[in-house]
Amino acid sequence: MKMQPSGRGYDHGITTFSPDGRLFQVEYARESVKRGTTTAGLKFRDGVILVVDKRINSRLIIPDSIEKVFKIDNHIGFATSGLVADARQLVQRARVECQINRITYADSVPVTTLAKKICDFKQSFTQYGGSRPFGTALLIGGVDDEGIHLFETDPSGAYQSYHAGGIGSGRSAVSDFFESNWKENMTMNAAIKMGLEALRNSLDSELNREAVEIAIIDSSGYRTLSREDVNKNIDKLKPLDLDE
Amino acid sequence: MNIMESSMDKLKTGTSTLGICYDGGVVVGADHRATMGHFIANKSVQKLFKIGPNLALTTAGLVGHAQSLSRTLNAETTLFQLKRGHTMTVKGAATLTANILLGRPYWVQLLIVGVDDSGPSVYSIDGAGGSIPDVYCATGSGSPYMYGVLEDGFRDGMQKNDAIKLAARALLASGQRDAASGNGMDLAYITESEGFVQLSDDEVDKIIASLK
Repeated sequence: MKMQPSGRGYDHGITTFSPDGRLFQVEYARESVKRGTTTAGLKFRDGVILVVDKRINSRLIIPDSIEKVFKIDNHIGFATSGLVADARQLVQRARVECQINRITYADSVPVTTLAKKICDFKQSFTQYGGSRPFGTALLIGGVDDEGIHLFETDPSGAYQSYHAGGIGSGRSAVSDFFESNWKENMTMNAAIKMGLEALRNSLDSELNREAVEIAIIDSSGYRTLSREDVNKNIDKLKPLDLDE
Repeated sequence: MNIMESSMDKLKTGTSTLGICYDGGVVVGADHRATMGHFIANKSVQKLFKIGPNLALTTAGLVGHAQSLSRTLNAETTLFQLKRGHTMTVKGAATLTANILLGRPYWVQLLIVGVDDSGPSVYSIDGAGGSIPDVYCATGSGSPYMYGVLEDGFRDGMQKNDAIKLAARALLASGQRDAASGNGMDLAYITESEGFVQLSDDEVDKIIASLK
């Protein structure tokens, strides 16, 4: 969308529709996601994988201090893109929701239920005055009794379920890659490889070995790969032909 | 009517529970009996709860208060670990529990036991939020009988198996002599490397048989 000087006043309040029925502040919040780091997620035979690029552009930054993928409960992980501080609020809320479900029903929260709850929360920031929408999109990966789940949420509170998808600045490159390559019933190793390739597809350069993180959620729960294991998987990729 | 009087006809875990520090870990145990007055209301009540990878809770007193606390503590320790990336210390869990009990009185007597960087420890916590660390501790109506066994049998720097046997012997004694305790026992131990490990019913039976 072009940033014209004129939302003609319709972009001042989040609760004000423009005459053609748009909420500019929500659309602007989506822009902040489009500037975010690229994050890919894909399902495989036994679970779901989240692959994030932390986009570290200075050797002075300590990579571990940047968090883009979060454990929410034993069976759910979030990967975030957009405003990091906004994301942390959503992560915190989601973790509490998971524990509330355990206290209330003595059971882990279904992934779909959690996705709806977080989206209800996001939506409330598009309808009430005095606040602004979250500048954050989430990939929600999880496994429960109903199966394997991968949701994408956006700042408006909308969500969709995907076999494979991405958020952030490289979203369309990641989606294009999955569109032509993703298939059902992949092994975990094949899915890790594909996730890394999709992420690399959005960068047009080799992956930064310090900046990639991989989380896996399957029936044995949430875990992240060690730096060593991530790099072993990166090394397995065919080198990019940058002359193409 | 104060809370103690109003609770007289409620489901109570008359109860015997204990925690014993040994060299490298802590043993924790509880009986299975719940009573309403002179009536044994349940013969398989859970009074020993894992509330974190390195933490356990035993409960004596009103069953409802005890169960509610165990759920809350489980959520708190999980959130703590997710946020901070490491487990809560035993002292931290005991202090948190004491603070919850100060909010409104719970009719319970608790043990928080566990292992952290400072080693194994046992905290006894009363219903008004008093929290006291110790090397071994017993709670509930059966505690006087258990203390007899513990005062006699406890040694500094015990080995795991001796500590487990001592715990079983103490719970066996209170099961024999306290009307509100008995119907078998749960036993578990916690170490830094293994975390919380609950013994199976078979293992408990074998330990009890070895005492006779």
